[in-house]
Amino acid sequence: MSIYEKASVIPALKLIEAAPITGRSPAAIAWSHLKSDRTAWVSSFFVFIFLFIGVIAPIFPRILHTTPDAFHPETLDADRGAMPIGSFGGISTQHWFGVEPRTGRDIFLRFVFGARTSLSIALIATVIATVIGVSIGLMSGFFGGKVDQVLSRLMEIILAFPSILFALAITPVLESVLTRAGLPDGNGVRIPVMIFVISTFGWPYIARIVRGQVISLREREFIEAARALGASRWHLVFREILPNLWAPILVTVALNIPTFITTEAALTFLGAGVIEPTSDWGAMLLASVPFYRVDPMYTFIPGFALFILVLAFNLLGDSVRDALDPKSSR
Amino acid sequence: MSLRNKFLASVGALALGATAMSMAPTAQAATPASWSGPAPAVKGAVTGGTLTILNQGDFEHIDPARNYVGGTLDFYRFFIRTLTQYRTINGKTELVPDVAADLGTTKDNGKTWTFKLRANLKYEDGSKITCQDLKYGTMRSYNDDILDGGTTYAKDFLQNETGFKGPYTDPTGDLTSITCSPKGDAITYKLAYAVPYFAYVTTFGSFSPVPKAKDTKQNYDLRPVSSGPYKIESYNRGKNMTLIRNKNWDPKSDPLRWNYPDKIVVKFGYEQNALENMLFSDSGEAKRAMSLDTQMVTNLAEARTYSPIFKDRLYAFDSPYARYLAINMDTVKDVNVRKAIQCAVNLETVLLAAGGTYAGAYSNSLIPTSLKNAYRNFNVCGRDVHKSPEGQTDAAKALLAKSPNAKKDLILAYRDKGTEPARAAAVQQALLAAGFKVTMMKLDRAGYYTRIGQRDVGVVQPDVIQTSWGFDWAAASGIIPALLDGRTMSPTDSHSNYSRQNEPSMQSLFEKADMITDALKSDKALGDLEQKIIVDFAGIVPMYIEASTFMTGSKLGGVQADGGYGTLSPLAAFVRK
Repeated sequence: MSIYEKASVIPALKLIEAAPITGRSPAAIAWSHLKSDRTAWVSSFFVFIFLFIGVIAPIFPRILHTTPDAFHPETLDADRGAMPIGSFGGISTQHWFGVEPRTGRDIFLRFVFGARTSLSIALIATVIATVIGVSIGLMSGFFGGKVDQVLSRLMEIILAFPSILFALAITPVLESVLTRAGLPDGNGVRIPVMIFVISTFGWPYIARIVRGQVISLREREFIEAARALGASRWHLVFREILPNLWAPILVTVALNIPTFITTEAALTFLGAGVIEPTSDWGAMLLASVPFYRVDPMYTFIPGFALFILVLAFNLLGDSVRDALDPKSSR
Repeated sequence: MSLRNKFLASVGALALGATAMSMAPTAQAATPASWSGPAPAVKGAVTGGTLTILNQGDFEHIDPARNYVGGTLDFYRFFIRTLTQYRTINGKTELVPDVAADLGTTKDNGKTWTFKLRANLKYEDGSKITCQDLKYGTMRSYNDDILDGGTTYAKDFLQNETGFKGPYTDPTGDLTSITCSPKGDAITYKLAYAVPYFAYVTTFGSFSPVPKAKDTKQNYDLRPVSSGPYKIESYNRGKNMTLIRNKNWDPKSDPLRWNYPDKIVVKFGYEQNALENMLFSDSGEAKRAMSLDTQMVTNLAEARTYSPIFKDRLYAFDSPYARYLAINMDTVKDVNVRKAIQCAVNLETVLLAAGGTYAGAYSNSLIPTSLKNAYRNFNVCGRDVHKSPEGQTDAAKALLAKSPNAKKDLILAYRDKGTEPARAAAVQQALLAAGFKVTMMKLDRAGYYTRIGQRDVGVVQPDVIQTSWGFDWAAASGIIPALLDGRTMSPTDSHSNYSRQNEPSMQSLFEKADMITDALKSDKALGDLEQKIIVDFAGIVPMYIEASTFMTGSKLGGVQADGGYGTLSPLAAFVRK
């Protein structure tokens, strides 16, 4: 063998011992990046914990032998303004997070069921907003021209609205419309109204991003090729473009969920949300404000939980976006 | 020698002293000197400055024919004068003549009343207040389809042989039961039956002078003509009201009003917690301010525990306001279901939700214990609520079992204000424990009383209504007829009879009570009536009688608890520099 051949054989031999070269899809690449991201692990853990607690909530009343709405007058001091007896807002073995002032209701159970209320409203609104946002973004981006003009203006108008103020104003109007249409009073009306308001103000964020992606995608060669082969517009939109949008949709959804959660809490805090005795994180925050000086635990618990959950979703969204971005450094 | 019937009723124990009200229904020899103005000077008062009043909500109505809310009835005396009124001096409240010159005389045991009138009273524009204006003020209250919200006492008590319907629908008609003397110096009222306490009824705004030429119907509510020490400079509904001095008010003609501040500014729209903390900590604009509708709630325990520190600006007194649930007898027809509701309600959790022992005292009746002739300590649901306030769930279930087919789905109406949502949640939990199904009907504070009074007009009727009542005057006659007499209702409006009580056996007792001319006997009869309605018919679930705790800014003086309205009165207030 010549010296050149010898030189190239050794590294080649080493190469043969290494793993075989395999082709990986973008999803697999992204997944492996995500797996190595510690922030993603921690934030997913917290998101999972909150969702899990919301799902298994019904077992806690059986463990603690009480319900989230039950009053416990024996835990309150009637002579001191009906405040909880004991420090840290009445924390005890029977009441893991203490009790509410004035009512004596168990805060841990109200927290856990409040997670159900707040998260389910926010997640349903997310699904609706995503479906609407993706559809309109697709149409706007793909068809262009007048359709795009009209839909883009619509998106801009909705984005320009001060959403919470508008939601507060429109809630009583929608409520009376729905009540007259026959929906039961109270939460039967309020929950659909909240979902409607949150998704109406949420879909433009998703639509805008989808529209941008679609505009860049529709000029690509594979679209041209499919069109040349005689594909219908329907096929182009739903079979060619949409499957390539999963990455930006996923990122947008992950980053929008915390916004929807805080909007739901804000609406309830401002009085346009669920009514008593249904527990909800925003409602707990609202009820706790007058007592923050004498019973700070009551404010701290839902406030801190909301903070952690929103932070976790935001970090997770960032991590997913970094994992999917082929140009980000590792 | 004519007999003097003394009608005494004491109102709780005020922190500033006991109140007593007296009344002389028959002729007096001479008018007491204290009935002429000016009102005695308040110790330490200074003239000048701006009094600020900070409220959560706007006044429901300031048109005298439409005002029926205690805090507003107290406040609007700054610009409204009525035939008779309450005067509070040094913690003692008494009934005195206002536009009248005496407390009325009767020659037929209270069926006809004649009041002499003060001379030379003027409105804010200098024009004279006449007897005809007084009559017109009462006549327009008959159009309560347009001027809604007020008391129905004029309609209830005055004779109306011509069937007068009100000047807006009946412009040529006349209310012949009211006559003015030829010189216009006395007014006579002919009543349908004897009312010994009529001089108390005339404290209400339907007995206030209104110049017919300036009557703007619904819009009078925005700018009534003033006869008091202040007049309205501006009133932006929902935002603010400014009162400035009325130069045509003569203090010598007025025994019950003062005019220390130069200007009074009322601001609406504050939030309970924020306003309460401002007043408690005496910060910012709260230093020269007080509130008519915001008491200490979250700061209640601290304020009362450390009361010696706050004594100069803390006002804690028993109010006459009874908090109760009215059970809608139109929609909850089965008496066993109503009794079950009574048994199920847990008064302990309700009072805790209101703030514990400082918030009030359990009660078995709408009548405060201080009205000794009328109050009876009967058992509700077979037990003494003062000793056992907890809900009687087993008794409730047993009662429901007696009527297995009756409806058990209840709609509970409550106001979105202060502790009401928490108290409603307490009621709901107690009812759920007894086997009821409860839907919550949360209503806005604006127009709440109008909404819960609506009948038969296509709106959803609540079955259980959380509400409260402060006596119209310190006697059972100021509580029971308004709240429980079926005759006060119209087909579309229950007025204050939120229970829609109209049982024939109870109504015949009301009619019998009308015939009683003696005030004490009337009190007794009405007390017995209330007991029957609560125990036998379960139209009401009494909960507790409120204790009031207010705080004002440190620069204010002259503020006092008013024994007539059970409110914190700004009438004698002054502002220190």
